[in-house]
Amino acid sequence: MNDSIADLVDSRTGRQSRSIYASEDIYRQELERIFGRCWLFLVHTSQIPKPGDYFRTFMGEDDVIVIRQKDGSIKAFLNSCTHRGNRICRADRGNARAFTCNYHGWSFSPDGALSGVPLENEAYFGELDRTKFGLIPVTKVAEYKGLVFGCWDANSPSLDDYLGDAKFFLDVWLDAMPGGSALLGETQKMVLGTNWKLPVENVCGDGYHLGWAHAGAMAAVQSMDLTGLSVGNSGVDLDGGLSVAGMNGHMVLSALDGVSGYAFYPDPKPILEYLEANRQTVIDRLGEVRGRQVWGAQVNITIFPNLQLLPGLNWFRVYHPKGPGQIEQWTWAMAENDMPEAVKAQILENQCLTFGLAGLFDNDDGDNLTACTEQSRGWRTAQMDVYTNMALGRSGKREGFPGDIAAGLVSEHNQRYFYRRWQEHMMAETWAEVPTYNINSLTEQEAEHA
Amino acid sequence: MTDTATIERTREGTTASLELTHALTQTLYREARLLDDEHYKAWTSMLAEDLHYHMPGIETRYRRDKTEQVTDLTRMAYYNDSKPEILKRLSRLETGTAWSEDPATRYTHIITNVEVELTENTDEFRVYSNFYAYRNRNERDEDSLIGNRIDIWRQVGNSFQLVKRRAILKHNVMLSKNLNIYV
Repeated sequence: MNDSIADLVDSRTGRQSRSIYASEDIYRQELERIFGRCWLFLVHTSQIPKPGDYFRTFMGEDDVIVIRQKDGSIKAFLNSCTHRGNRICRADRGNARAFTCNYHGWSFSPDGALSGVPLENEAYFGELDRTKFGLIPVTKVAEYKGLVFGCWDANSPSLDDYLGDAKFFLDVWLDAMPGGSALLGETQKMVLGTNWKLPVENVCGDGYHLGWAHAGAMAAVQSMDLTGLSVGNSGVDLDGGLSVAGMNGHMVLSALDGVSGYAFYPDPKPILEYLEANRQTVIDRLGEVRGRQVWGAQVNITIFPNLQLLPGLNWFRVYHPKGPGQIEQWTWAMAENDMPEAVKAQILENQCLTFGLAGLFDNDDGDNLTACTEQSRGWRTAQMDVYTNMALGRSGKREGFPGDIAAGLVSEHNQRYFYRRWQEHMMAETWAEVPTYNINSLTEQEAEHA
Repeated sequence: MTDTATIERTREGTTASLELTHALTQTLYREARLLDDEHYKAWTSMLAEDLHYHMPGIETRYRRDKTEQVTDLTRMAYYNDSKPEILKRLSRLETGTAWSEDPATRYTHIITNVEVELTENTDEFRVYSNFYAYRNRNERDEDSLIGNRIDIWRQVGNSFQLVKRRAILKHNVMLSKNLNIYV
């Protein structure tokens, strides 16, 4: 299989075989080598604040329950009874003192221990070793400033090392203000008939589609400039933003004006007031570059493989794969805890207007990504290639920022790094074979002066 | 649980007369026909200036979890719109560049289970109904949205205007690629 994987993607020329969006064999290998190996987003700590609070999610296709423990720590388990495999928790979220299986009544405490077995003495004759039948724990669970991730691979790097220099950008949401961050509202879930990689590449680097695919939506809601991107793709300002990659497979698009995150709010005034009132605080905490240029600007952050968060537009999204041609897309609105309640309400409402199920922009993307997937299924199309070859070889270091950086939000630089990382994981037998790289990492001194 | 919670209902409503019930039922049918035909200008003329159009998102919860998912307006909603917001959404279609709406979606709205009640305001009426909204697009895109509605309609001269609507969909995971529809 490795020989064929080597041939499926060429990140130097920006070529991908269309079979990577259609093949069942490749998908099974992705479940093992990507979703079974990488750190995957589970929950934001704001979603399970109290002991016994739980949240159900997926790691690949595995159904997982994430539970806040009595001591405040967070554990995660397969949502599957160790007796006959039944799903033990059926709710999206809630609070529980125990999880009792509907089938035979086995009961598990929030720490995963098997705490009750009906007819344990009468029918098992007291011979069942309960300690061998606790819920299966997710191998590693770790938090970075409110974001909780899980990982099945005991040999993975630490979460801190895995995130690498992407933390420089994550902090622009997670640590800009002293109150930290939160996700707002219920989970907005939607089935899309797309391969999971297509929505990731759509957001990780593809500023090119914005002015064209979303022309109608932009005309309806745009209130400010966003790096010169315009309805109908008639212009672009490549100096206005950055495409940042080369950070262990994580990617960032960032405008540099400190306000354009709110360009797709019909009435951005209350949020712009919040930004200006707190600008100095953020500069003090994160430095000039991030405080003045990045905080408040449109920022697309992709954490490999399937997490995307967009401070500014304020949506936070995970793609759960459901076979090579289908995903469940889960979206929340994101906010800073220091924001006034009225601003949080406006963010939730605007997120639903633009990137929710009825969102004007999501209407366009769902249609295109589904069709890209369907058009890769043919006997002939599966033998063909597709390309992300815009602005090849035009990247380098930028003062004040980590990463290998190309100019502008319109470039296919980030997509090439995404597929490079995909290939690195797919070809590696173990974590030890997966390269680690944080290109142009800032020295401590540089970071301080940034 | 998704009780069909009422909109500002303080007591058991009094059933409206046969004549009024007929007039409002016909209004609902007319509205459905305008939406089927994408006659959005005519549809929005049926909306009051102080309209609130609400479609809450529903999570799956255990019965013992008493979280109010339907009526709490601070929670996530697919639509939580004023009339200007509805007009803004519709303006996307008028640009001629909403590519995902060309070819057009084919809609059928079926409205049923209509009940009309009087309210404390003599010119406003509470109208319960159920909807079945069918969509078909391109070759094989197809889905059905089914749910309950609770409306407040206001009599203005000889016609009625929609003042409030709560449409309660039954989905947890949306089983189609968008919500490009009003119900």
